[in-house]
This record gives sequence, C-alpha cells and structure tokens, in this order.
Amino acid sequence: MAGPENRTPEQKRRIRRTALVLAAVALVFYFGFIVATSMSS
Amino acid sequence: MSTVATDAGAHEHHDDHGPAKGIKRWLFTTNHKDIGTMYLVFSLVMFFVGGSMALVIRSELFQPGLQFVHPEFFNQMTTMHALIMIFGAVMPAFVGLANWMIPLMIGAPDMALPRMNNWSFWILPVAFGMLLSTLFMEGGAPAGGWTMYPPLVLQTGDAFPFLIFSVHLMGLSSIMGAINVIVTIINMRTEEMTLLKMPMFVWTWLITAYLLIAVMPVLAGAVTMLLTDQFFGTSFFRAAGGGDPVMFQHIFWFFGHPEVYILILPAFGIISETIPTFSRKPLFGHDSMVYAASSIAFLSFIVWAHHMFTVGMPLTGQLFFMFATMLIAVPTGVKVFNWAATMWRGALTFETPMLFSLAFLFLFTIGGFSGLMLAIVPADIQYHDSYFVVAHFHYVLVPGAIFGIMAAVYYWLPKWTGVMYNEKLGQWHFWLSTIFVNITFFPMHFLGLAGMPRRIPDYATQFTDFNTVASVGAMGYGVSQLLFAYIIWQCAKGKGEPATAKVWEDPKGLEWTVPSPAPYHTFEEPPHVSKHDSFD
Repeated sequence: MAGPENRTPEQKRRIRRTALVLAAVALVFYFGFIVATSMSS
Repeated sequence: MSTVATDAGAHEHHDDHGPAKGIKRWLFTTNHKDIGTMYLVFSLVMFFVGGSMALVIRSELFQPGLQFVHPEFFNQMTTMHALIMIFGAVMPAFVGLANWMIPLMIGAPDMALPRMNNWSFWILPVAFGMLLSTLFMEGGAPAGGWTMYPPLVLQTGDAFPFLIFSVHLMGLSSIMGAINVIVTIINMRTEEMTLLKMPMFVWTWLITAYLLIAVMPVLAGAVTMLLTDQFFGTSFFRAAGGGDPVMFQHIFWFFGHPEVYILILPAFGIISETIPTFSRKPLFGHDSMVYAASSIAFLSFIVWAHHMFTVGMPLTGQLFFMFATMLIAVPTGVKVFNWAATMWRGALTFETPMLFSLAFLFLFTIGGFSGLMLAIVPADIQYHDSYFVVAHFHYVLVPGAIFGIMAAVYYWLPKWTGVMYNEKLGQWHFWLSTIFVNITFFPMHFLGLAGMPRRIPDYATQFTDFNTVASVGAMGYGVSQLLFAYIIWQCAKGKGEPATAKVWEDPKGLEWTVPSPAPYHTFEEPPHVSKHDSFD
C-alpha cells in the first residue's frame, strides 16, 4: 500500500518535523504582521 | 504522435485495493490522484462561474449607458469575478496539477500528508459556497474590489464577515496545500532524485509553495484586522481612531505581488515540460531556470509598492520600487530566452499543448512588457486605475496562467484518463481561445491609454468602439471554453484512442514510466531514475 503506514519511523519523524516548522513559520507571519501593524498605528 | 497502447503495465499491482465506491471515494479519499482530480474539477466549475460574471461585466460594457445591471451589482460582479478566478479557478487548478503530478514526477507513492490533503480540498467548496451565498444577502455581495481596501470595504453589508471568513478559509487551504507540497518534495523523493535532477514543474511548485507560506498568513492577518476594525472597535486602518488606511494597502500588496508569481510560476514550470517534449530537445539551461525562478520569487517581496505609486511616497521609495520592479525583467528574460533556445533547431511539432505553450510565450511576454511600462513611476501615474492596467494583468493571467493550465491539461490528460483527447477539437479550442483572448484584451490597452477608468459600468461615448470589440471577444472566448469542457468530458468517459505509457514521442520524466491511465497506486517501490529521466 502507498499509505503512511509503510513509512519508516525516521521518515515519519522528518515529515512531521518539516510540516511543524512550516506551520510555525505561517503562524509567526500571521501574528507578526498583526502585532507589527498594531505597534505602528 | 500518439500511438495505440502496447506497453505492459510494469507498475500494476493486482493485490492493491482500488478506490472506494460511490460518494465515499471522493469524501474520504487520501489518494493524491483523486484529490488532484477533485481540485481540477472544482477549478473548472469556478472558471465557468467566474467567467459568467465576466460576461455580465462585458455585456454591460457592450454599449455606453446602463443596459442590464445596476452599478452596485456591476461592482459586485467585478469583485466576485476577481476573487473567484484567482482563489477559486487558477490557484486550485495549479494545486490539482501539483497533487496529480508531483508524486509521479519525484517517484513518491503519494503526498506526504494525505489526510491533510483531503482537508485542504474540502475546505474550498465551503469557502466558495459561503462567498457565493453573499450574492443573496441584504446589501448583496462584496463590491469594494478584490483588494478589499478600507474604508470602502467596511461599507459592505451583511456580506462582510462572510467575505473575511471565506478569505481565511481559502488561505488556510492554500497554506495546508503548500506545506504538503514542500514536505512531499523535501522528504518523499526517490533516492536518486537529487534536487537539481527534479523537473522544472516540481521546482517551480516548490518555490511557489514557499511563497504561499510566506504571504497567505499576511493576507489572513490583514483581513483579520479589517474584521476587528469593523466589529471589535480596533483602529488598525481607521483614520478616526489613529489608524492608517494606507497601511492596509502596504500589507495587502506585500501579499498581493508575490501572489502574482504564485499564479504564474507553476505555469512557467508547465511550459518548461511541454516545450522540450515537442521540440525533442532537453530544456536549455535547466539550472539557470531554477535560479531565475528563485530570483523572481525573491524580487517579488521587494516590489509591492509599485501597485500604489499614486498613493504618495518619498521619491527614494518611488525610485527603489521602480528599479526593483524593472529588475524582475532580467530573470524573466532568462526564462523566455531559455525557452526560445530550447526550440532553436529542435524538431518541432504543434500538438495542442505546444500551441498553448507557444501562445503563452508570446502573449505572456506582451503582459510582461506592459508591466514594465507600468513600473515607470511618471508613466504609472497616468496609467493607474485605467483599462491599461486591466489589459496588462489579463494578458498575464489569461494567456499566461490559464493557457499554462490548458497546456498542462492537454499534455497530461492522456496520462490521467488513458485516452488521447480529440486533437482536432483541441486545435479548434486553441485557435478560438487565442483569437478571442486577443480581441478581448488587446483593445483594452488603447482604452486605458485614452483615459477610460477601470471598475465603471458606464463610459464616455468615445470609448464605445473598442468596448464593443472587447465584449464580442469575451463572448467568443466564453463560448469556446465549452469546447474545452466537452473535450475533457469525452476523455473522462474514456472516448478516444488509447494512450501509451509515454503518450508523446520520448518525453522525459518519471510520470511517463507508469502506464496510462496511471494506476490508482504508483511507485510503491522507489523507482530508478535513468539518465533519460533525470533533468540535471
């Protein structure tokens, strides 16, 4: 099968880590722009 | 060029489970091919919905005076047309192509995060259902333009929170899709597929995904601030409370300009696949194409204020944004010359995907050149908010992004469905689209230079002739797209000559090593990347 159940623990860890880093970057940009705008106005 | 299928399906695994039956297959699927198909179908539906709105606009502008709709409804149509075409048609089409092709091109069995992939798609119908429902609300749909500038947008009626929430959902879907693309490309490539061996479509999508993660949260933040200004008493953009409405424009275009490249970079990747195949030569300067796409992405972050030269800014600011914008022509020129060099002395044939790619090359370049004209500050002050701008961005987005998508659909449709599309009808679709797209948008340059402002339902009588021509072109373009839907429908039903695994004459890439139609599960064992299928 092609599903995630066939992945190695190392591959699962790398996938989870990359996804979490990217999601964190998105959240930083979201809140960062709101905070920066509130400080400038 | 197509031949009858004879290849044995080396990748068929008869012990595999197939797709679920009925509606459950589509609701709960985590298969990248199913999800890619759903994205593409959704995009086609939205293309016709947004296109219908364009036809309302062009019907009203067929003659001066008010004929068919009230000015308020006209403004709703311009706003909704843009939102639907950008977020509902072009972006989901590229995500659909990414879902279908990236795992096949890098030798991965599926996307890295298949359940999130399902969620990313199913958010979209909810978002657009919500946005379209505003047409039936008190006060109508949003009418302040897709840029949602305050204070105008704050005058929207009941539709306002629905607009904001639907933009949040579209952004969430895009961010999740982008995370999935990056995680897949970084972690799921077959071992021999090093980064510089990747096809250009995968490369341009990787760069696009990084752009999406950087800028979609910025748009989400901007519309969140609009929402709190409207309902929670904040004054981010309210001048009366000490806020700055121009700040919204800066934030919006910090998202909006990279968004332009989000809408065009995957199309660059597509024609970097099609032109070599139909020229029977490898892509000229693969690595320089990667560096050029990366440079375009970087520059897209430092040019945003060219959208707002007329708002007022220091001379140094104007000069910086003018020169930075002009600089984008350098990597774009690298790409255009590389595509031309790929065709140079190639054994060219002109099947439908190649025709759309060539039209892309010529017509997108026209859009690029008018963009350079708009980058010149003193000239832009004349062109700003005129039909010249409308002509410019439609040349970039219709014969640019949408022709790129059409080239991709014709190129990979036999791989998806297992049958060749009707070449004769494809050629008809191409010629009708290309002729009508120019009849629609070329006269808009003259209208803009003569002073016709954009976003108006009525105009002075001296603009009549070019407007009538543009409206006739738009009707022709709209009707000719029914042919596109018919061609796809025929293939989806399996009507057509069976396609071989390679489909075309010796194309490069792993996607051509699997049978046509591509089996439900592919590359369960990591494939070997032969020298032929490597792009370095």
